[in-house]
Amino acid sequence: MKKLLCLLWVAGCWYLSAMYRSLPLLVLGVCGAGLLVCAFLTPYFLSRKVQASFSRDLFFLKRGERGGVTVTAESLGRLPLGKVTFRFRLPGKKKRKKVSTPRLSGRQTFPVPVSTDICGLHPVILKGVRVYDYLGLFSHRRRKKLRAQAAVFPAAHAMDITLPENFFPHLEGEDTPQMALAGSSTQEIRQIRDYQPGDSFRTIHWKQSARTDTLMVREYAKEGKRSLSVTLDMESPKSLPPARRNAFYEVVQSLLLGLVGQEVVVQLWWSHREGMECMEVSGEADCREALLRLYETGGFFSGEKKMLPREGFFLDSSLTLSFREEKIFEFSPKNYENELKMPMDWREIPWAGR
Amino acid sequence: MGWKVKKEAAWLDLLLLFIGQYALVKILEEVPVLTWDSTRGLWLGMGFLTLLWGLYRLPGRWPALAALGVFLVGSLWYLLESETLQGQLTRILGSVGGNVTGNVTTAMTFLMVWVAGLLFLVEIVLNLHWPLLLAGAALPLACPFMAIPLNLPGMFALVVFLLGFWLWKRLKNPGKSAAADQKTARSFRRLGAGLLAGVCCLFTLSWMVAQASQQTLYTVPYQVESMVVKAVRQQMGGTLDMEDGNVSRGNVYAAGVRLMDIYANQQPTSAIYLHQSSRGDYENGQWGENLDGKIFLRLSTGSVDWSHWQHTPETVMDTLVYDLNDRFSDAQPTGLGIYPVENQETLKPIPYFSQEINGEIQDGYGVFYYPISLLTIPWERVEAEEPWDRELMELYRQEAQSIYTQLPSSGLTKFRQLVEANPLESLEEVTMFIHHTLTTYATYTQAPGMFPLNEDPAEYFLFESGRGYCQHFATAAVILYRMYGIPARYATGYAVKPSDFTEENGEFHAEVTDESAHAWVEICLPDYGWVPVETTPGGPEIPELPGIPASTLQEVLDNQHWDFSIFQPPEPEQPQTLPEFRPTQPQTQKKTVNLMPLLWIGLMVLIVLGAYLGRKGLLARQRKLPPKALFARMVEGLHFAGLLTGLDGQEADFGAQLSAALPELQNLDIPGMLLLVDRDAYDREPLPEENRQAVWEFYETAMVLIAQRLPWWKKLIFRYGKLYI
Repeated sequence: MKKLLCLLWVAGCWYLSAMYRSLPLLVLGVCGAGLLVCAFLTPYFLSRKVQASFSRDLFFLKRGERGGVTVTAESLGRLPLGKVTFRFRLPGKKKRKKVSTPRLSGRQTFPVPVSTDICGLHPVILKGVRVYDYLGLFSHRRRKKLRAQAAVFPAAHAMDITLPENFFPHLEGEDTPQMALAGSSTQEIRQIRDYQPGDSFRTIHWKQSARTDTLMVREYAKEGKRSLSVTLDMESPKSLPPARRNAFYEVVQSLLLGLVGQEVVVQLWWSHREGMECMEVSGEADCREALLRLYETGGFFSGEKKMLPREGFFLDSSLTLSFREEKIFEFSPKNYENELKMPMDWREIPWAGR
Repeated sequence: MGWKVKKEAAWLDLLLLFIGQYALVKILEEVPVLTWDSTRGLWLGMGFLTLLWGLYRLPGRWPALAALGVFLVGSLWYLLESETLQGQLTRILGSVGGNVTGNVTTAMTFLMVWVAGLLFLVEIVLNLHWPLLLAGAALPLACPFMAIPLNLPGMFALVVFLLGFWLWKRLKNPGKSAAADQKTARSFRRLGAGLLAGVCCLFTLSWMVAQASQQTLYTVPYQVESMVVKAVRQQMGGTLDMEDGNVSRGNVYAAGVRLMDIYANQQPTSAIYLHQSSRGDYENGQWGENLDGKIFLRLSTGSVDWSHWQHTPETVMDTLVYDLNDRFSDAQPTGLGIYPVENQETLKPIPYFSQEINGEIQDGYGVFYYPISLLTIPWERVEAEEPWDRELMELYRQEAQSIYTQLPSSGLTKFRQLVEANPLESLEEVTMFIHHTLTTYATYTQAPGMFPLNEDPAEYFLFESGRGYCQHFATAAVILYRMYGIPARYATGYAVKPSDFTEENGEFHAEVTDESAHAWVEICLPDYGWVPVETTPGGPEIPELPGIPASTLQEVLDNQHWDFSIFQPPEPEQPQTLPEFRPTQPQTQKKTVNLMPLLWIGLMVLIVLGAYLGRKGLLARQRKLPPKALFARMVEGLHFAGLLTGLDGQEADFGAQLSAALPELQNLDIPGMLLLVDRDAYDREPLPEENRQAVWEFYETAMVLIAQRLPWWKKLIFRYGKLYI
């Protein structure tokens, strides 16, 4: 609209200057035309000097809390820029989201809010950058295709579990199913924690460190640790609505945190489209890592049911938690949040003799 | 919005406001009907802006609010008390209709101060630029319509003002205190200044381009307009319409739409004026309806008994001359067959001195007519045999004399001045005077441009632009004829030139299009009634009048001593030499007080006070700067004084160098101060208040010492320009 008004104004000046033979009006019209031409060409040159990138490849967010990804924009040219707009494709949104900055000079970082309603791994794509001239009339778009991922985790809440006495002596000596994972000794790792001065370089967990931008190290577990398996059946005959998926992940996290809080090392098994996977969870960081791996392997799928170990806890898509095929608790999709806050006293459950 | 907006008023804001005020003054200076001393209005307006700007920079909103309130109340009270101001404002309002105001400096100055306040309120307080941008963009487009000439300085100032604020508001930083943001703010300010400088260069370049290719650039809109109008007319089938009596204020573009075919039994030797309508009274560019009905009514109620006549009065008058010429002279008439094309059947123009042929002609009509050159009526014989013919014509002419010499009682000033400068009696003198004036001081063009809305088109055509076409020439001629007491009418129809005819099968055929639409003058002559006179260039060099030889008219032209000084551009009135307009009503019981001197003094005091308070406000704001920013200013001050110019304050030995440059500071803990500055820059927690106070005191001391080392002129800049202390 502004462009049209400016064009009409320039045309009006030119027309009236001719009709009234007015040199000042003609100069005004020519000046206006020149200004429009400059304003038209400026964004093309300015846009070549804009660089944009995500500050990280992976962002960790909590469900229900305000959060987003951060974008770093930099003006490489000598001239500062006026308005710059970044277009994103965000999870859960059909339309592209635009984030504008009225001025850009040097390097600037700004947040892009992302919806945290749904747990999972969501791609955030920077589709393009549009640079405007200083009057805000014309713009030039440069396409970009930068990706980052936003991992939305459930709110951390450890399940209050009371296990029977001698629960673990009962399990001692029994074989817990192991999957030999190449290149690691899963039994030895207790947890993954932040680096502290004095830790050996060899214990640095490079993958996790790259993800979180902070040095993380593996801490090995002592022998004879209490361990337990938790199996997740990710197969679902029909597509689960987001609320049900959120409930599932919340229950998983809550269960894991509740178990590791009792110094239990959890062997987490789950099925995915290509097969099965296992991870050892012995702390909060492992729990987050496990959930991330769960997201990465695709979450729920429909297809051939896999043969899953049922030696320990078993949770399926209907939120039924069982132990060695004995149903312990069935969480309600609508009331699971309250149910998770309830203390889980499983001492009376008949563990023995099975 | 409003007072909740974070207050900000930079130097550039004030400068741009000055430029806006200047632009408006320069535009209003050129209004022809306004006479005023613009310098006074400009300076008072700028002074008021300075005052408001200075008060606005003080902490808190009350100083500026109070000033605006005082101004509002004071100016309204002055308006109610001052009859001079009221009278002048009334005259300014009346000038919209084109009335000259006289010297109205007081009122215009009053308005300029109000405008200054409005500019400040909208741009600075409300931070709205778009209303002024729209108004500023519309103003130069509206001025030509009101015959207000524009000038380059005014346009330049307007461009800088409108674009300056537009860019400035988009680019200026809110002014955070961190050093990185200050650097960004500086870079944007520099960019803004650079862009403004670029705009100035662009304006200069535009002026050069416009100067060099003025005619080419003027031609393009005409060509585009012509193409569009013709295309639309050809599509819609419309034609050039001159029958509404409007004297056009713009260009005329004929589309070449065919209207009728004419067949003549012999080659015409002079232009045929196919008469469609004649008009009556004139009022501001509009010709009223024909007034012959009034004449015939008077004649009917007077001495003429129409029942003795075979035909209606209109038909009698239209055909009387033809009939007399036909019966009493040997001249042979020319026969014309006129065939309007389909959809133009309502057209029925007829030539002068003609008679319609009785009998049905399919799709048209026929006339016999005599050109003026063949009007050879032997009046003695007519007098002897049919004296009533001449009596009737004389009675009609007397009535026409009273009706068709009427003009508006006001307006047409320059026409009246021209006639007063050239008192003429005879028809021959008047005709040649009008003919000579129009051919000398006006040029024929179908694209004369647009005429201002507040000026009479005929007067603007003849005395200002000098460019027009048949409507304008005819209107000017009719006005002049009437002013000289000769009954004249504005006539429209079609003019078919002899060169338009081509021979076809023994007949002479001409195709008449809307390009032949024409307007001309008719004058009422004794014995001949209404006679067409061509006043548009392109016609005969000497007008053809029946009964008056061309040599007589040529002789008048050769011996003329007419006064055309009115066409010389007048000297502009200097407002300083013209006394101010003051109303002449009798003194009322209420005494009017001459407040102007007091107002001047008061404003000067307020300006000085405002500048002083503005400075205090700036210094107060400076006190609140964080230690790192104060340190940066101190380094700036050192560089300004030529001290430690190679250092930026980050050096390890900066403290020692500073101590060496300003030995008086040795008593102070320079390393401690530097440490506080570093802590302020890099610590997460802000410095406690006592530390900030210590840094401020150090800064103040250092600046005083620096100022003492400066020459007087640099000290003034240091204190009042740069505002370091």
